[in-house]
Amino acid sequence: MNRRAFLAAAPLIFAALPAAAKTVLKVGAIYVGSVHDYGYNQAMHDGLLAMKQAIPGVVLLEAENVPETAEATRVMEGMIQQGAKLIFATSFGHQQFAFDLAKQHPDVFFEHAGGWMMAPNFGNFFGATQAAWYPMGIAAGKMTKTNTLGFVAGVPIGFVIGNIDAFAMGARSVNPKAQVRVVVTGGWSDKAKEAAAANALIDQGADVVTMHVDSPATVIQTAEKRGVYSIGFQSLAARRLAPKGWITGLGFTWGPFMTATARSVIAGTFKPGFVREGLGQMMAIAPFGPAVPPATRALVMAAAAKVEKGFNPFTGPLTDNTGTLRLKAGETLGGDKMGDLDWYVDGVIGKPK
Amino acid sequence: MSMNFALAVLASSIQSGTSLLYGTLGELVGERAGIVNLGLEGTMLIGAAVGVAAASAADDPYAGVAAAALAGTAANLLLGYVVIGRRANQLAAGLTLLLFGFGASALIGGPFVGAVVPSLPDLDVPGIGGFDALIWLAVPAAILLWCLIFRTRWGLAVRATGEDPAAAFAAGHRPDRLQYQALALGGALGGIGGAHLSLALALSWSEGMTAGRGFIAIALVIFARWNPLWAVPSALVFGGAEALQLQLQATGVDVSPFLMTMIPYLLTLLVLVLWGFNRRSAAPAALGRGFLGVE
Amino acid sequence: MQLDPHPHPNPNPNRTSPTKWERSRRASAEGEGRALRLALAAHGAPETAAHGTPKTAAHRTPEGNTHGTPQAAAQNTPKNAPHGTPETAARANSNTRPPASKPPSPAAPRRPLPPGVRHVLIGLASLAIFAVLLLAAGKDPLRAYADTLVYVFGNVYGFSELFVGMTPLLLTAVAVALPARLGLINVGGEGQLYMGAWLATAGALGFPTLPAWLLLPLMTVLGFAGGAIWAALPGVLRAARLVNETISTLLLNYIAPLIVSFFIFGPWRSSESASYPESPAFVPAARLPTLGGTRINAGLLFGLAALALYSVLMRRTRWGLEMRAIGGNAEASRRLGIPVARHMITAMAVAGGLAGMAGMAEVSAIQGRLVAGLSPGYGFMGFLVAWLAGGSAAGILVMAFLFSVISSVGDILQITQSVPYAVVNLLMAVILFIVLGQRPAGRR
Repeated sequence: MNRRAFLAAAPLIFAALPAAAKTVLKVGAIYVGSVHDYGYNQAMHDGLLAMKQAIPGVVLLEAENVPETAEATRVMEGMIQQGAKLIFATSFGHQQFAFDLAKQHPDVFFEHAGGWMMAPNFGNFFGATQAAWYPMGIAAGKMTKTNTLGFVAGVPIGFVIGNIDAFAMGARSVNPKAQVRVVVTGGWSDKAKEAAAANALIDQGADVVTMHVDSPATVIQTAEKRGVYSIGFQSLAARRLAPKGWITGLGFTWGPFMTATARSVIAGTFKPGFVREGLGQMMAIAPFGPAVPPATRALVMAAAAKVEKGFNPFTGPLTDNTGTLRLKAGETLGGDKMGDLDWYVDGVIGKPK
Repeated sequence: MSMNFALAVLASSIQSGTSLLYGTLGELVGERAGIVNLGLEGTMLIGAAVGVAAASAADDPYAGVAAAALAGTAANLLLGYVVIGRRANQLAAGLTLLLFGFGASALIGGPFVGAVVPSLPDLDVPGIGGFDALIWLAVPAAILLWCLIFRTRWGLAVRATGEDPAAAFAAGHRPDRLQYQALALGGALGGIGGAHLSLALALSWSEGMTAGRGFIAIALVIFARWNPLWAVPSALVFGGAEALQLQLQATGVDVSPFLMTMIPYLLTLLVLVLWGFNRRSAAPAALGRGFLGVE
Repeated sequence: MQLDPHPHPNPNPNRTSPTKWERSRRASAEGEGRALRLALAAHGAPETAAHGTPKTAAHRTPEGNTHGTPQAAAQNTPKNAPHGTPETAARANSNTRPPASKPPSPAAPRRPLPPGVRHVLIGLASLAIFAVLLLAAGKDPLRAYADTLVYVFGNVYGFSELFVGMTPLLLTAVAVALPARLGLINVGGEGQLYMGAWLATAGALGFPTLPAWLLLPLMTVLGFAGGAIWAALPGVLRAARLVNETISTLLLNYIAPLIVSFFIFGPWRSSESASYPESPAFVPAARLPTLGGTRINAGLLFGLAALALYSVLMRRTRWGLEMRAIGGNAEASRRLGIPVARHMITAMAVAGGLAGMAGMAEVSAIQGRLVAGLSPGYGFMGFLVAWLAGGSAAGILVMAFLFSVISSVGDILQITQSVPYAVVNLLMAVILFIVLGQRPAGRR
């Protein structure tokens, strides 16, 4: 295309740009991975789609594969330039960048997933995952025959350790002989390592494998290939991957929260909060797989109901796996302290790094 | 228990190391002809993506492997054209192939992210174990490549090209044609290496999934002294480092994954330094045509 | 994190005549070569008579430069053959064998276009290819151009981001171009950047109470030192003729991010956010200031200063002259008393230091802490920038800017048209392939 033609066409190009349609709100979202990962990002995306459906006139701007580096700032700024007034920064590592941008754009609202920073136009949300892992542990404890459960962890941060601990506690509540082995891959999404980690756990005798990484797909498929059970995490859609070995799983249901947030922005009533909701609100239990007997299902659902009512497995007296007393009788560990957690309960093999 | 552990690590190393081995063999063939492909990572990525796409389309993992081999060949031939036909700087061309590979593979694999793909089934050999076809073929491939390079006329001509293109030419060979052929073969092997990652290990596609294995393979070629037979234990060692630290974790031993992952690289560097003292280089003399300097 | 999928001079060592060491090495390799020739002869291929030292011919620069020994010069005859093909050499060497039916490349050079015209053509070709790629992806190229004008060039923030993106590239490009003058190839920019960031972080975390006017220079020096040490090692190994620097710098690229990860998962794990592996946030005194509401930071000044110094050094100082001499003919330089080894190590160290400063700027100005995925491939991008620029300072400036533009365009299009960033990588690769295909090898 030569330059003269381009210049002649320029006015036409600008005219062709869509005039602002009846847009009620432009919402931007950045994801650290792909929205088709059967995992974390897909769950966020599904929530945003639900929000878009619930509120006519919402335009959704999305960017996938936005790394947790300064690149994120550029992408979010681009969305703001496009008129976005509400930005969802869906990965933990986006926090600082979103926070800095929030300072520069007091008229734009930000919601960050999984962090703690707050500002008048910056809020935080996440699922209170730890307690929700307890019923998962029950399912695993009941289904295992080797009494070895495997957990593939991406990054050994407090929240993940909390998930592992709750899982172990749930398992041991129905099966005192159950043990949990943990392998850390060092990143949220390294598929080959996840496969190798799952294999290592299965080699060590695990016959139920679960995970906390961005996408459960690889671990579940590896487990299915080797004929062991799997429990999913992040997205309810993962069940499709393991037709035989699927026990159950946890998924995030962000839709209601995101819809409510969008509505508050539209109405001008946005209030930043540190929102942590668990089962029944931001989280749900996936349907059970074919191998799970009805008695187990009932146990799991009963435990889930307890959790919904506020049951916290981190209630003292609680000792860690080296015998040190960590929680005194009557003491509980709340979600606000979960980030600092750095010990494993009895039944988990190893030391958190 | 410790025998079990050793076997588990071995099995794991074999699985991790196979894609490395194919990548190494692929790079090795090209380098024997005198061409460095710094963009091997790109070739492997293209192989991985095309493998997934083709396997899904044909609902057959072996079709995926075949397609991956062809795609890898195409990628390498692209490099070949730029480097041989247009005389470009090999390193720059290689890095460009790397970029190209990232981009092309992301576009090809895009629709398949997270999708379930037909994966390579394990083929059981009683007494040894169940590994997929590519793993079983890996060592035979290395042996075959060794025979090809060291026991055939073609291999001789290729080596001559890598040592001294002028002499090869004078002796009646066409160095450029040989280099193209070597690159084509190397590309196929690299593509297969990528396909093993996506169709056998990770069982899916995700962007950039080779995670540096292409570069590791380049180091492995040196570590293996440009000899396909030595490439086998080399790939095992590197694959093993990753496998070992994961298996150790599973047993409850506390080991820093980062320090363990560093070891193979340090080892390679150390070995290179020691060989440097030896003064006799195993590298093809005209490797990189002066761009690798005095190695 | 792995080599990020979004990342978004001709260091052609003018190798000429062999040094003493190279001759001894060649002798041993020649032994193998001789064995091969014998084997070839055994297989019936005619052996040429006056072969001399064909390796000299093969290794001589494609420009057929005249700095070589008389031996090389004699074999250099057709001088107007810019490609130094083995065919040419064979033709020069032997009369027993006529050239094969068709030399694989043209012996006579195409008349090169004037640089300005060439650059414009490349630019237009890029636009066209971009349009094609977008159409293939089902997007609208005209809208893409419009978006680019509006959001990248048409607004202050977008425009400022171009300079932000350019900053690390300037430094990593000089980190490649400088050693290239001596004939050294530094592909270790990534690792040097990480080590610079690491050491600068050590400073920031170790001296949080210092005032900014002390802390920032300290961190700058540390950033330089970190990268310098990381590059000096390959420099020493190369100067001692133990290991080729291309390989050693490549290997070290792997180890550096692992060291960084080890620290942020371990000793430097932030306790305030024990929930995520990263270093504690830097105190404000450790943050490089930014310009207005943009993210343009002092790193840009580092980059520009590095470019200016590079340009001046190479052309106006004795050091630069000596380095170019080494690049031209290391053996002759050695004989003239130029301390080749010392210059090699110094050049590598300085180069690494510059890349290290890029790392320092990243952690200090942009990130505010040490994180795992610091560099989306700045080191490799710098290599390409330096190569495209032919090693000239002005060229580096232009190319770094161009790369930054392409990167920004990719971001914008991802948002406005859901164009996957992969298209940008593809675009960059296609442009580069075209340029590579254009440029006759050996042109600086």
